[in-house]
Amino acid sequence: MKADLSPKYVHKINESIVLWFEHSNRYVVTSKSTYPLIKLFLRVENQSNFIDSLSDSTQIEHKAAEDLYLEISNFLEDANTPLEKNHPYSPSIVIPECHTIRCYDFDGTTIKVNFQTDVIESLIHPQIEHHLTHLNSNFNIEFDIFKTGDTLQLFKNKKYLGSYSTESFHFLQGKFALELTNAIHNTQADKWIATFHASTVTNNSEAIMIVGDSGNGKSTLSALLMAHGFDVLTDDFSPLYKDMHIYRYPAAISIKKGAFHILEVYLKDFDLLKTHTNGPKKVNLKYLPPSSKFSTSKSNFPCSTIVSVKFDSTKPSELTEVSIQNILETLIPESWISPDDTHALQFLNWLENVKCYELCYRDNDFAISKFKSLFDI
Amino acid sequence: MKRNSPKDQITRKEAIKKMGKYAALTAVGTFIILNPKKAHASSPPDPGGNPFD
Repeated sequence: MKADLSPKYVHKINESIVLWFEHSNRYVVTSKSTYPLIKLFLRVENQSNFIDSLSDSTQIEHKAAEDLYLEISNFLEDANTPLEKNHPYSPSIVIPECHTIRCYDFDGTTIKVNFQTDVIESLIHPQIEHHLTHLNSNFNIEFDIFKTGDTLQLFKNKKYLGSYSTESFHFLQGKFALELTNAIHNTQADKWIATFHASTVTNNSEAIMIVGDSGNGKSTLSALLMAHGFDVLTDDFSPLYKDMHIYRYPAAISIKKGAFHILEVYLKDFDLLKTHTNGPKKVNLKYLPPSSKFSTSKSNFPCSTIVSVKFDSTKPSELTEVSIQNILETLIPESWISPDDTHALQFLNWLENVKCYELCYRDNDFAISKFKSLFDI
Repeated sequence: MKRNSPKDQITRKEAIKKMGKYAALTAVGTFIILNPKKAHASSPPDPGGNPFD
């Protein structure tokens, strides 16, 4: 028994088998018909036992069985190899004077953020500008964000939280988003099962998560759904708590220029929102604040539906039920999932009850009507 | 090793099915390894590119 290579958890989810490897926090999706080969590999002592066992029970040729053994062996080694760690902490970092100081209010919780420069401010501020409040000394939590060389530094209450290379600034944004989520929901970082790269909408009773590769219209669709009465619980960053609910992250929805004309039709005053120009490519974005008021909206909802969306003007609009594999291929590589084994088990159990769909659309009204029907199921 | 235990045997039908799968297996078609991110992240760097460049 090659115990070291064995997955810690094996879950059958409809037609797929999902394995979780504790050493690496990696997930493997395979089929019910392939999984017995992995099981056989793990059970036998060596290659020749594997080949004998396969040739006894199948008509597989010796050479093919030999190759298969090596392939499974390499694959399991891969699945068990941890990825590299992030930047190490350097204790010599000194927090510099920051020039742009902002305070934000989230239902009575005041967050003070000290941004060293305007460019650093542009990473965080536009998404939460609608929570801006007057500067005051009665803040609950203080963040410092600054740059040393080519590294961005994040401190909370003057204590080090993380370092990120400037080209990986989205990890700083993600860490800040998690810390902000902790602050506004009064919880701790180790209580989260996952933070998904997804948007989540709710009908005030349950939530539907929207996944899709960047550029496939997650945010535009969320904004459209908001314009049609749904509550956007999260945009782009969907945290799943240990109670298996998705929690509200009240950031503005970032809308790229290509979608401005679509949303102007549905959202009053959309054209009045400030247009930001991001990065050296000078891409225009608008940040659309959520329509629901954070202080009076329910903070979390159960979610048992995931929809993978794809805007495609060349194909007919269609909503189809898809396998968990289809969803996981998009969701897992783009998300943080807790390496804690209890959390991994909770995540797998949650997946067993999730219904998965793919929405390919070119017609906005079609997409909206399908979401309405999904909430009615 | 309990290679001859009845539990370990697969039927001929299953074997044929697996032979079909094996072809896909050699192309690494039937195992998909998915790595979650090691840290929380927002969207990958936005289309505006790295603002520090």
